[in-house]
Amino acid sequence: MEMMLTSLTEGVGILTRPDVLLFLAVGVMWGSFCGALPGIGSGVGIGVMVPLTFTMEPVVAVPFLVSISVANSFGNGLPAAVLGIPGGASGVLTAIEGFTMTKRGQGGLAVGTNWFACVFGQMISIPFFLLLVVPLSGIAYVFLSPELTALYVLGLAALVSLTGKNILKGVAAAIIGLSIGFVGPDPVSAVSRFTFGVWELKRGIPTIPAVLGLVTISELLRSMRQVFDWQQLMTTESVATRFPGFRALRRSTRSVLTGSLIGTLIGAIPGMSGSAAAVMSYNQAKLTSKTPEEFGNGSVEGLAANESAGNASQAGEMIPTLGLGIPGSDSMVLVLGALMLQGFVPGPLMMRAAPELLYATVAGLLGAATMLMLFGWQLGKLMLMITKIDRSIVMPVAFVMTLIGVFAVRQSLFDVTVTLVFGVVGYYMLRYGFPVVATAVAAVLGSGFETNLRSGILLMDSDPVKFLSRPWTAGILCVAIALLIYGTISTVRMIRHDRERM
Amino acid sequence: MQGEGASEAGSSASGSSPVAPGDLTGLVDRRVDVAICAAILAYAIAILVTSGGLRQGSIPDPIGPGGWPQLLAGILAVVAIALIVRRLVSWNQAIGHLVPGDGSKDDAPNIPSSGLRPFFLLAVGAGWIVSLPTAGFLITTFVATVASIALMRVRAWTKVLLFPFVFTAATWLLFGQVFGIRFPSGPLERALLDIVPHLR
Repeated sequence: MEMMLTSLTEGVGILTRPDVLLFLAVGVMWGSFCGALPGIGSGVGIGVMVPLTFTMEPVVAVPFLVSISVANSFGNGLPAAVLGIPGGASGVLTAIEGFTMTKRGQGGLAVGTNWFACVFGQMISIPFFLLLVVPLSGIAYVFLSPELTALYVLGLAALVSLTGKNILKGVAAAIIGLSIGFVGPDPVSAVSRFTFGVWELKRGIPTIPAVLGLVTISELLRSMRQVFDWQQLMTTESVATRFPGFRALRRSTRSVLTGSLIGTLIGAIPGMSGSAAAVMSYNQAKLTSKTPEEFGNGSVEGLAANESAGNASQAGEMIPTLGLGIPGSDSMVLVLGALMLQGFVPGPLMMRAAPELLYATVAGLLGAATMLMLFGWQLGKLMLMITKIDRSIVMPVAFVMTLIGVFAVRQSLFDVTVTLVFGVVGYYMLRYGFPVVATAVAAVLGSGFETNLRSGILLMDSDPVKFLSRPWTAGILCVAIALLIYGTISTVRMIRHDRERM
Repeated sequence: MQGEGASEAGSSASGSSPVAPGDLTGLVDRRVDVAICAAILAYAIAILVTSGGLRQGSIPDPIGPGGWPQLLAGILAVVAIALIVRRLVSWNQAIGHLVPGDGSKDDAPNIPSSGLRPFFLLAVGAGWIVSLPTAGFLITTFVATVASIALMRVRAWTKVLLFPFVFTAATWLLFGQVFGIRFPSGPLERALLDIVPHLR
């Protein structure tokens, strides 16, 4: 507790420096901008700015880089909510819930919920981060492949919430998503699988292009079947872009709280992504919601759960990065690289030797969240202005922009081809009731699950009992099985209820 | 493809559909639905067959390279068969082939939709991929944007030509010059490099 208070006080102290505030503002603007562009994640956003930090003091450089990462996560949700185009994998569920709201003429509510969940997800994650940074740093040593497998099972159990109207089609969609991870080198022995002699498939099907094809291109193809203007669908212009008010956002408070906790905890585990945290949070919100039928149809709670967990995982990722010197994501690799260039040695002793890094991180998280609280809605409103532009211009431009964004990730035309192919697959899936979001989420989680399952079994001398009887593994698996059973029953009930209502 | 254009094709079959006349969005061709399930079954069988022939690598493990794919493909095959059987069992309950689908409906109920436009758009995307290495980013992106906007029946020259020009230039500057993304160079880029040599 003492460390928490000291870190908060020191962090606030750093925020009084004008140069820190200036770079925080730049970082927030830049991060939001990069996040809103498909294909430009926090990795590229931070990478472009890292050279600027070489001459900075660490207490300025760290908040600056942290603010880019935080704002990137916020920016990622904006095009997802307004246009149905996620900037990255973690925005997939935002695209489903938020875009449905925008199409209903509730763009303000979608962007407002996104803003609320991001800002408060960040704010809530900071005390969690400070409370957990020491104990969770130790957990990273305990969490080996069996525990990570159990966490992936927990994530995959969440797919039951995404099955849509037809459970069989939902299962098929999820397996198709998992099968994307089959292609390429076998995760244990590196034997080539399902490559059929195609050289580009030797490294596997790239996940981000496949997900963008499934979610973005398919939706663009579907929506471009018709020519009309957004205003024809929206009830009134003011409803579309107005701030929804805190009363409307209050519904999402519980989702934001639990999402923040899930995001911080999952983000703290190296090898687990913000996307996995977001899916788990979404599933938890649906299972405990009084209105689960709204999920998938523009749910405020669903959007808030997804976004708050995705954003809180940013703080979580800092825990192993600073606590152990193990970067939790690609953007954290760059943050760690920048720290190394400043003369710090990554590892468990880094925080003890240089506590100012922890204070600077707190300053970055707190400062970026405050700036987003003050200016985030305005940034979101700018994005909402797009709905005032001719839809017949915006949709084609979004299509070309997605192709450019996918190319930008690895400068690979094969990736763009993958996006288009999965766009067609997703288009048919959308039309015929196979939930593309389940496929996309399964694609993100699938290869990690197989890798950890098989490595874990090898690690436990091929003994399944040894594998399953590890305390953390057994505990997490029990939770996953309970969620799966409860989720299946709830989903079946909801489908029956919907059929009876029709 | 018939079910694909269910919305616009639906008017001819509305009498035989169990859905109220006029409410044609969300209808799908059940034959296409069955064909998709059959394709999924074929996909599952292909995985089963291929994964059976995978060799164990230098680090043998109990599951092996084919174990996880075989398990999932087996489940997928059963699910696909169940979906086909379910559709076939209820085949005689509807007179026409257009039936209410489980999937997404079109956004605007009373506006005609084109089942062909998505495929023209895909052709534009494929054209972008094929011509990018030779024609370069500027020409390819400009043409692709013009074609995509024109597909949406926009005819005003400011929108069809001027907007794509500004968009192409802005993305090239942003991605190429700011983010340092290396796009293939075409004749236009090479000419620009001759004029402004420090451009990447």
